[in-house]
Amino acid sequence: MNNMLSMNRRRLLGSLAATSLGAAGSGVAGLARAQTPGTLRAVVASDLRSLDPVTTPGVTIQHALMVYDVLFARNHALEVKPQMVADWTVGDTEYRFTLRPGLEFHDGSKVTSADVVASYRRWSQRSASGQLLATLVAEAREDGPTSFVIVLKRKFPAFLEVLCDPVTPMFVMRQADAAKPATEAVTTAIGSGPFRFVPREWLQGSRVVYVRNPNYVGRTEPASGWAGNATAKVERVEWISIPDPATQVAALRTGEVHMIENIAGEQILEARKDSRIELLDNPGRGAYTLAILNQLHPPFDNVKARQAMLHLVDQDELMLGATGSPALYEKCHSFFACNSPYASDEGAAPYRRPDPAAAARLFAEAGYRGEPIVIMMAAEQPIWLNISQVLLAALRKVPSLNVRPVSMDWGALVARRANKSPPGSGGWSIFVTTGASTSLSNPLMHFFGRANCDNAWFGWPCDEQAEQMRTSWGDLATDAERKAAARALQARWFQQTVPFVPLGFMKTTTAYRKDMIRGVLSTPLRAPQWNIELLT
Amino acid sequence: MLAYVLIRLGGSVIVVAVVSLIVFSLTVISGGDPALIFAGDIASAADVEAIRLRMGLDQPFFKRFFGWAFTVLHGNLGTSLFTSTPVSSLIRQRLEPTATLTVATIVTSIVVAVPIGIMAALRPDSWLDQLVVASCSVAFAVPGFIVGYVLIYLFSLKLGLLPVQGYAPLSSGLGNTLRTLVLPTATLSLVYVALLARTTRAGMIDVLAQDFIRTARAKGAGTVRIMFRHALRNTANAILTVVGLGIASLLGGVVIVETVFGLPGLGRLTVDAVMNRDYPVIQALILLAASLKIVVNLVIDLLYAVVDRRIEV
Repeated sequence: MNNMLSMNRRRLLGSLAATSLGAAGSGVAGLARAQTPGTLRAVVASDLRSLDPVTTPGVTIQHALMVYDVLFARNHALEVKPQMVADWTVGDTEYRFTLRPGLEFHDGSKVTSADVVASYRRWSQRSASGQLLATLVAEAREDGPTSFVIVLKRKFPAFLEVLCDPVTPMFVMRQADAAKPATEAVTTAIGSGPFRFVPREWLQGSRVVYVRNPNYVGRTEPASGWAGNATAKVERVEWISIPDPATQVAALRTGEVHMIENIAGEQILEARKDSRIELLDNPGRGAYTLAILNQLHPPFDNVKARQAMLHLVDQDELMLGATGSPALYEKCHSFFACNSPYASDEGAAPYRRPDPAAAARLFAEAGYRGEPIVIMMAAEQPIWLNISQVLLAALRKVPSLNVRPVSMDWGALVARRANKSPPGSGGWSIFVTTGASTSLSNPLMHFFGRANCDNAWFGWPCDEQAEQMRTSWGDLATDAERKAAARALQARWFQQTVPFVPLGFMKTTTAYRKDMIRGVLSTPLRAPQWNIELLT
Repeated sequence: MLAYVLIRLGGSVIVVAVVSLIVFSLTVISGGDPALIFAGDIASAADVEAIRLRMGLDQPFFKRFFGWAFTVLHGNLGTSLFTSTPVSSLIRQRLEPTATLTVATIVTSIVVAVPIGIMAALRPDSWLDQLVVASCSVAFAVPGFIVGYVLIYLFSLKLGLLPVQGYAPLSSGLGNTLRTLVLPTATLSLVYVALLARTTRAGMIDVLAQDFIRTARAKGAGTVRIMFRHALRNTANAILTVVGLGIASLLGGVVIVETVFGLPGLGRLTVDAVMNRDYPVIQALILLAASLKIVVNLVIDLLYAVVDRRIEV
């Protein structure tokens, strides 16, 4: 019987081995690489869920950069450069623009000034910059098939700066699409940009496909940032969704993807081990980290409590907790992004080093009486969670504080942060978030610096003087004046408003296979795939 | 049997309805506002309110729930609040990777685990038996994502045999699909192989000690006949139970594997929908999962009667 059993076992093991070998043997090296020649495969920062950059910014902006074109674009140095516009004249309050010849949408129709004006009107209803311009623009009208005019109510030298908003750019859509209400999403993606979207191949959460637009007319200037010649140099681009950072890098190493738009900090050391991988720092694309304070309720309705928070922050501890390496962050004590032209150290000196004793004294001077300080923490967002936990530890260095950490998912946090009730009654006191550098690059577009009370961002800072300083910044004509005004505004923010607590700057890096592609650009915010060439 | 099946299916309608109501309540109680999430950081309060109205979120709880139930009864699963895509299309896009992964995992688990369990049971306490028991314990203990990373390292990065990520649909050819499924299936199967192998081993050891096995041997039955005709048949119900539970719990297990291997399946769709409070998608997925569980339980119950004639349905 034993012999028979042994034979059975051997036979069984043999068949199991054969099954395993059969499965493994059917694969060959590189089998997962692109089957379609001329295809660039990129892992982008997040999944595309909507096609309309007006109703749903975020990753949709990146999609829109592929498909649509813009009037003006930011170059590598964040300067405003013409893109669809051939030339323009500036009067006292009148801007007259002419489009470049030969621009046409993917459906073959010509781009006209009617499309531009309709797109401008829709954009101005939703984006912060557009809403600002809506208060300044008296009229936007066509002036011929390819010319249009924008008339301002008063002189506003920063007009083009605002029109060329890098956070929510004004993309030119077909007039029929732009006629939709700004709260209703456009469900097609027919632009005049360098790539055509392929809707039938869009598999949400897995793959987005674009093909080269052969009729795209690029500018003659070389590509720089989002400006210059944006011509597609590959036939097809596939955005591959790989949620796990370690798998992203493994796929890059095997050549299954050519590039990772934003490589996770903890994977950079792993990527550096492979000499075929190039790491490209994107100075304009980092994440500025901040703690938002609810200024409606105690203790942060008092400026001294807000300044106390500035004293508690140790940016090294916080950023190490977020990134794990000093190479992946920079300390930044300015309210403006530290790589932007208007960053300064004005007013920051007292807060460069953590001082829990000073914080405790200021909380006492603010009249703190043990009210709950509710810190909301998004449990499934590891970077924000880590920063929140380090911040929580800092708060606990002041024994008198009644700190209540509340863990939740991001969706619940987004809902609760809109709640203006007291922290102990369903409201909140603190949460951590990040902003793109471009959102904090100047006073006018400073998303988190608005202090117009109920109309400000969550936390609802309310400081009429600061708000007046911020909004009048666009009236200044010279760069020297603007820099001086930005310094004055920052001093005011440190002294009175404290619209948020700066926690540091996390760098953003693109990883790509230099033996497979070339021409990857360092871009503001998102990275479209024009200008990139395949080498293999 | 037909009456039994109909009664069970009738009861399942009530179960599905109750499950749907509970899940709908939980998504509301857990907080979160899809309009706020959809609107993004830059939206004004007026924009958020307009979006909320468009999504129908201004309606009372029960009106929303029964409105959803009414459309489902008419064969319409609704539209995603975020992508404006019909939920049925979203599920159809994501169903194939999860279904093929689940089937591959179950088949692999049975094919690998049952023979291992039988071999271990043939010689209890032998080195082979101890190896199987110890290996099963390790397989239970190691988290799936670590197994996934190790397999990627070995078979993709070092040997270059298999892709790291992605899914090739069946329409691209069975061979392509299987290649993309090998590593995820191996990762997901490990714990089920351990579970089934131990179940098989324990059941077989128990049955092999029974009097009727001794009688069969005395009557001259060979080992193969004893193992497969008598012992395995009497262990089959326990194995079927574990397989049934495995299919039901796989829907939860696939989330991690789909994330590690970048598979666009239902697990990731579920997580995304919950995070975004995309109620129509959540509800449809729960409906699907509950229905699947009921059908699997029913099929397993019917199979009990097939493998063991003493059981009547």
